[in-house]
Amino acid sequence: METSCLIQEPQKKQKLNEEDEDINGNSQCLADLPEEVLRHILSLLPTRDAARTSVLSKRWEYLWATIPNLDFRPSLPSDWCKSNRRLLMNFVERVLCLRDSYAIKQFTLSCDVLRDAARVNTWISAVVRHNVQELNISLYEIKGEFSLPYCLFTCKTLTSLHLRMLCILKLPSTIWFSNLKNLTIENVTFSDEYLTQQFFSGGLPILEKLCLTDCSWGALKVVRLYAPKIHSLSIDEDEWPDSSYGDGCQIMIFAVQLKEFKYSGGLFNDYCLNNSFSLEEAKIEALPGKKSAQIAHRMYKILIGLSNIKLLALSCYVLEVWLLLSL
Amino acid sequence: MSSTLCCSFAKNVTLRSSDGQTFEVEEAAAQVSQTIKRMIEDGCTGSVIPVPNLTGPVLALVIEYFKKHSPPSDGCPTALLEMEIKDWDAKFVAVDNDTLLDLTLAAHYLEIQGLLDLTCHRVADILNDNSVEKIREIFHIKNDFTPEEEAEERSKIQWAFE
Repeated sequence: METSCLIQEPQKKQKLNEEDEDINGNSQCLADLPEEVLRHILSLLPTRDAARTSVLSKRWEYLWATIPNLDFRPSLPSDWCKSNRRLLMNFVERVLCLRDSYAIKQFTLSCDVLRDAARVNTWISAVVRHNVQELNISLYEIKGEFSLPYCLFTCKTLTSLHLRMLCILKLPSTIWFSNLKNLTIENVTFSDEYLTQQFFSGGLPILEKLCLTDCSWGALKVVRLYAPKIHSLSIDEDEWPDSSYGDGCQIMIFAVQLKEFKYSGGLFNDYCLNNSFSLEEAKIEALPGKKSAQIAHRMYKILIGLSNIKLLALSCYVLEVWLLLSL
Repeated sequence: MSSTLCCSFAKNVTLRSSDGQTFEVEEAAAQVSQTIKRMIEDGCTGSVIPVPNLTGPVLALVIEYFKKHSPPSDGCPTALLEMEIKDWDAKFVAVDNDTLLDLTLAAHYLEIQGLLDLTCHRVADILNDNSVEKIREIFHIKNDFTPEEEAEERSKIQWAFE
């Protein structure tokens, strides 16, 4: 087991230095490592820290721009000021310009859109062209409707998408996320019934996990969610919807492989689980609000879809609503 | 030592460093390196395997790593053993910065993925925790930008310095 040449600790260090000086005339330099090793090291760093290495020396100038995971989020709330927004935008553009053909694995962006919708969309298109796999986009300060680039909705490499944008999202006519497994949508308002229907009933062939957080169905009357592979569905609707949209939308959920279902909200819409016989776990939380026969009926419709459940967690308010129904 | 009997039967290989030092190590342990594994498979066993990119002291360290990471003779590693190895790994790379770079290069040449990940994470931590000036000093990086060029570089990525 023992090596035939044992070296004592102090001697070892001394020898190592001697050797380096013999060969190089000075000590080992980080930049002497092969490029692929340096890229591997840089890929382990957050985007800001990787970028800072570009000023180390000329050898380092462009190395960092090939890192697979790009994260453009302000690190402090104070970073949201105007001058920082401009710096962030210039920075994103520089990174995408230097990119060449290196693929982007993860892309995270959080920024105020204001009048730069076209600019932001150019970045998203560039990221899609670089075969992005995980996309996390939070856009703020959007006026009115917003369209994301069409190529995003047919991106073949995308496996995870998180969209957070407080606006009406205009959907394109072709939606086909062939590899998307995780989808989270936050604060989005859907407006076109036909296109929303296309999105949720045909565009997500292998989706496994869906979270809808404070999304509004606008004036839509019925939406069918058809996701044959989905096993986890979570719906949160804490925000009181715009009363001009009427009485809420009916969401028909067809998810034969659904195992986990979570609902938390004020029952502003009418959710109905169909044929979800694989359900194992559900958590239903109703927020205190108005008690009406309609709310009670909506709660009843959710609960009736949970017939084969193994584990069920209900908040106390659900029971209060339930009592109202039995009166 | 209870393992003496088993070890005396284990097949050994001899590795020779760039400066001519030789080390005898169990064949199974040396195969933690994909490069050495291929050489053994190609029939280099029996004779001395040259490792020309590594000096004796670095090769001695790498062999310590081999021994700790050689596959256990009694099957699957236990969770406890894995934790112990993790602790050992952390101490193993807590070396001076020059040795850290030597180990990184060695892991690359010898294709030892576990060691490469370990050393690269350690280098990344150092890059993460230090200013540009300090990084240059730690890793002997000569700044070949003129002050004007450096200022321009910084302005291009100003967001990263905010």
